[in-house]
Amino acid sequence: MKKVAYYNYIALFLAFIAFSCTGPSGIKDYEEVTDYPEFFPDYRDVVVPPNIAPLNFDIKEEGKKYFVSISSENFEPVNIISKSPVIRFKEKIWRKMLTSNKGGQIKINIYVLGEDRKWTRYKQFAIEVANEDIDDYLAYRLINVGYVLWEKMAIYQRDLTSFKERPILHNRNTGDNCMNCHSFCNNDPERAMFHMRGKYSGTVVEAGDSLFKVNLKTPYTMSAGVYPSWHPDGQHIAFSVNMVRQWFHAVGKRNEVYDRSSDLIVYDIKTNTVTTSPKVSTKRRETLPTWSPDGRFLYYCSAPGSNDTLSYDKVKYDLLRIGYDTKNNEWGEVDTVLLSSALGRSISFPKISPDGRYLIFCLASHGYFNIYNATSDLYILDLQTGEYYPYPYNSDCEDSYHSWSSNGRWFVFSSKRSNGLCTKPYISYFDSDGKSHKPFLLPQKDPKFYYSFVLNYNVPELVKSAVSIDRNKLLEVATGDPINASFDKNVNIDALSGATKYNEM
Amino acid sequence: MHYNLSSLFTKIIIKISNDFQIHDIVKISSKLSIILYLYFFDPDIMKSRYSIIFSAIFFAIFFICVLLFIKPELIYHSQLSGFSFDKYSLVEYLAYPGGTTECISLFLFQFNIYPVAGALVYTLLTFLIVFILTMIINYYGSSKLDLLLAYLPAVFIGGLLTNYSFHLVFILILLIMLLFFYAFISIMKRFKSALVRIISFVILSALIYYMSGGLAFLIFSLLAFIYVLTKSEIRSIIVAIAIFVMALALPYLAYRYVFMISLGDAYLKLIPPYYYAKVDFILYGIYFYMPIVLLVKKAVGRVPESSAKTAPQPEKMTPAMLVQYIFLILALILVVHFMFQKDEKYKILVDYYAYNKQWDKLLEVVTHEPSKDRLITFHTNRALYHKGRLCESMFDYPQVWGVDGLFLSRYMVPGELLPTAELYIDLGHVNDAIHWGNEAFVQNEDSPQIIEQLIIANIILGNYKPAQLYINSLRKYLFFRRKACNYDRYIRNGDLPDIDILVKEKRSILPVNDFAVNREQPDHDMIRLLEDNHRNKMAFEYLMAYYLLNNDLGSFIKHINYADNFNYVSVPKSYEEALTLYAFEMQKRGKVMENLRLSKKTLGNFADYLGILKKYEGDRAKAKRELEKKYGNTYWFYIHYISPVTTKKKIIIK
Repeated sequence: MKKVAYYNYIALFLAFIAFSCTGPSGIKDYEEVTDYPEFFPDYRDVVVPPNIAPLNFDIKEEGKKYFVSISSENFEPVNIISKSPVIRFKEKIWRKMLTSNKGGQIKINIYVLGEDRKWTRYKQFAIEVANEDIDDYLAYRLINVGYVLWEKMAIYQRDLTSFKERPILHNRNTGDNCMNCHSFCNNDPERAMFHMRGKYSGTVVEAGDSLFKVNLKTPYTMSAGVYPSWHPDGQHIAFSVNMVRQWFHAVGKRNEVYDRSSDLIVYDIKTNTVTTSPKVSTKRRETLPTWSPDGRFLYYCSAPGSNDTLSYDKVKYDLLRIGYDTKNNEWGEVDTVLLSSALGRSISFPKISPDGRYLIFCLASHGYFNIYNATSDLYILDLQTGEYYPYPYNSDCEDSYHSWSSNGRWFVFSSKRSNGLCTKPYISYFDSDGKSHKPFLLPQKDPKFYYSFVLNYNVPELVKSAVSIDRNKLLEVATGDPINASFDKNVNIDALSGATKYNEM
Repeated sequence: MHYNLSSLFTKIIIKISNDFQIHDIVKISSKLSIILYLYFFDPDIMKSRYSIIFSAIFFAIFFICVLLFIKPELIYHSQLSGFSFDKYSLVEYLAYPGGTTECISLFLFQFNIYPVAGALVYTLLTFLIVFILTMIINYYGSSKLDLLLAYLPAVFIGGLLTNYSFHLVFILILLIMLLFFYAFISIMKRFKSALVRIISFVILSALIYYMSGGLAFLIFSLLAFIYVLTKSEIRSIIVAIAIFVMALALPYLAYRYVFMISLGDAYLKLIPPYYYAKVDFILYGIYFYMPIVLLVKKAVGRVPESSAKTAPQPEKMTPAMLVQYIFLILALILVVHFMFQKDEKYKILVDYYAYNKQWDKLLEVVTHEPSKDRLITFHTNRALYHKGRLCESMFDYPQVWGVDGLFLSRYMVPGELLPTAELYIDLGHVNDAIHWGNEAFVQNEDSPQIIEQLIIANIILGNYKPAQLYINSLRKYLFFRRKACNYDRYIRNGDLPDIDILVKEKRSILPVNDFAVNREQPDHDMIRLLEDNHRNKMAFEYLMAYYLLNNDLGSFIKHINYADNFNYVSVPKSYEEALTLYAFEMQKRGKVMENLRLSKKTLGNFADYLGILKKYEGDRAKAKRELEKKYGNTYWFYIHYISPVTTKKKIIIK
């Protein structure tokens, strides 16, 4: 009796495998509707990199069975039949299909078997496959929706070619402390840094063979380093130093995060020195530095100082830049790139494409802390022509932090568009003409994953390959004592303290 | 018996996977416990029926202590942890040594929401510990003190459960440790080959290390080491050396090549991440008790080569047994009694009633046993408001915290985040309720109760997308699925009256015009809520209470006119007392308050109050005793003797 049941299961299993691999040749008897099917995530008309993990999705149409047929020019048709509305692709087949269709598209037909035993075919949609790969990894911090307190958090890396995710560092190993602002030099996993706050505070820096933790707070800077940007030479990191404050709204928007004051500094890894200039340490609020890909200019945002009697919603940041010669530690002159007054809104998070041509930035009603500001949209500035235009796929929710891929053809950004609460990473294709394409949500093995996932994907950064720091060494460094950075003796201290040194405020 | 047991397990699994009723689980659990009892108490091992009777009495008392004295629902409410059937969360637990046991413990812990089921879980786990311990002890042959040795951990587990923050994982780790050690002994007995023994130990070690963490593994290794040393064979020495090497090497290898953990955690991890309660030294005592038992048994005599199953058991009740029986039962009762954290239980009980909006019960408890605890004062004030008695009776209860017993947000500790969110939902200050709810969620993301508050707050504000996200999250908690479905139904169709009434009521008092929340001065927020909505009675009464508690009669008078918006039949007692005092002070400054109609009773009482003060020539310290006796529940007494503004007492957060 038991044996019979055993064989039955095997037969059933084999039949299932055979059916799900090849699928029926097609549904012949069906009713066609002119609407697109509803499914999540929305992958209709998106452009995807050929190395992306399968775009599994959940069909939101009611039905007893689902049949998905995928056709393309250069690959055999792939058919999936499923009793569940969740459609999962096999990774190998998916990869082959995308690789064969580089520069082309795959067309997807969805059929749903209704309660009346009749199939309905929905309008066909396409997914375009770009020629260019995206960097293999995405690094991000997963963090709860909190404002003041924190507890569980970790910086993760996700293999974009599959669904593998693993922590780079989890705070359960580092005294439950806060860790943030992970950043990479030219998307290189071997040149990276992140901050630790609270217990074991300091900035962990991996620069090639050396891994160390540094305390960037000096007697002459108002805080330790905050928002970072690696110089392309991999030896210098620009930071803002900020006195961050927060308050809460009673109606509508939840909170405001703002800087009481902020300046810029540059950290020299070789000499373990922090330097600055009176030009970027003024009474205005300078923040969010980013290097030009040639390393000659430091772009940053600047707003009037908090001593000026401006209400919070009138504080708008301009986009400026200053020359900096890393070899001689010489600062150039400040240039205005884009004025908030010209746009009527506040500029933040400038990030320049690796070819130096385009700059993506956030534009919001005020301030720079856009993760809590639904008016935040992405904009693109052509640095050659000076023209700027909105990213065509902005949402009415927060569209914020973004990062370029190393080849400049992709960028990832955070958006709350899917649930209005937590940021999720969206990937967008950016073609050589400066045109950006419809973004897609980071695919998950289980597409329903996002329905109940209440953590923020914070600071998504594309990385060329896996971060493979020796984890024991990383833990040792992260939980060890930091070295103290020294302040550049050549800097005019008076200029610094005369600017926005916190004690003077 | 085997058939019964497996069919019961199958039933449980089927029930869990369907939308089951808790009474089914309780029924099945009760049956299961009886079957387990009969099944495991192999008559070869426990021949004495006295043992069985004693065991039944002991665990019945244990069960009653947990159910009626400690109360599992309060343990649950204190820790507010749930078990989410979320794949991502589960995978997180599997990523580090000890996570698996933590995950299982969370699954079991959720049964505390139903008191009988919770008490059964604790009793069953403790029973299994005693049972396995008995079997282990029996391997060493019987002695007069075996009963005592086997039951002592159960006595102290009972004591540890009186600590409401005690994590279930600690009991589970002990059980797993003993189970693995018993398996090891069985293997040692069955297989004589040193290689097989070593391989078995390696497998068991790796398993226990992964499941329960470094410390459980080390104690297991220590037990195995002691056990092996009790053997006089050469091959046992080889096994002992292997155990020693393994105990040193495995954690290091795990640290170096497998898990991302610190070296300290690799060897000694016991406490779950993000668990901040102090671990009682008694727990470590119980863990290291087993090796001591083995050493004691070793000192008494060598391990018999033959099975312990053949060890003779007394058929008759001996005086030694009787003494042990009585001692153990008394010890259990006394340990639970003396370790019992009465104040902690009281505080959790009040918080529990407040969470469930059982205001009458709450007031009954605090009236019967007044407390100066800040959270209790806070909930008492909430209960008084909801029963329409805040302005009448607030000074009937201790108000030593002043305004900080009315609002918790000025000085916040983690356990007060959720109550603050609840208060702000009550007040219609919902945006800020979400703020505090999220802070609470950050501190305890496994709490379905916090998720529920966030759902309610988001629904009130019409933030349906975030509400849906939280609903989907709540759906993954076994005992909250139905609630999640109801909220889901509500945001889709709006056809659930219970939710709809609450939502409409709160929406009617929401502020319209934005303002900056003032955490330091919540009265400012109350004024803004009132300005936007004159009918927000709770904001009014909290504002008035704030001024009274803050000795600010000027502001009290300034805003008293808002009372016209609410149909008070007469001037509330505390307001009348404040007005009397204010009029008196004004009169002293030559200002007469006309149109102030105060009851004769209050005026008479105030005259009497002043008379007593006068009797002591205005010496408040001397008059205190008499005044407290007669007028201890008046605003006059509060402002003269209790108010922190008067006494200049300050809260210091360390």
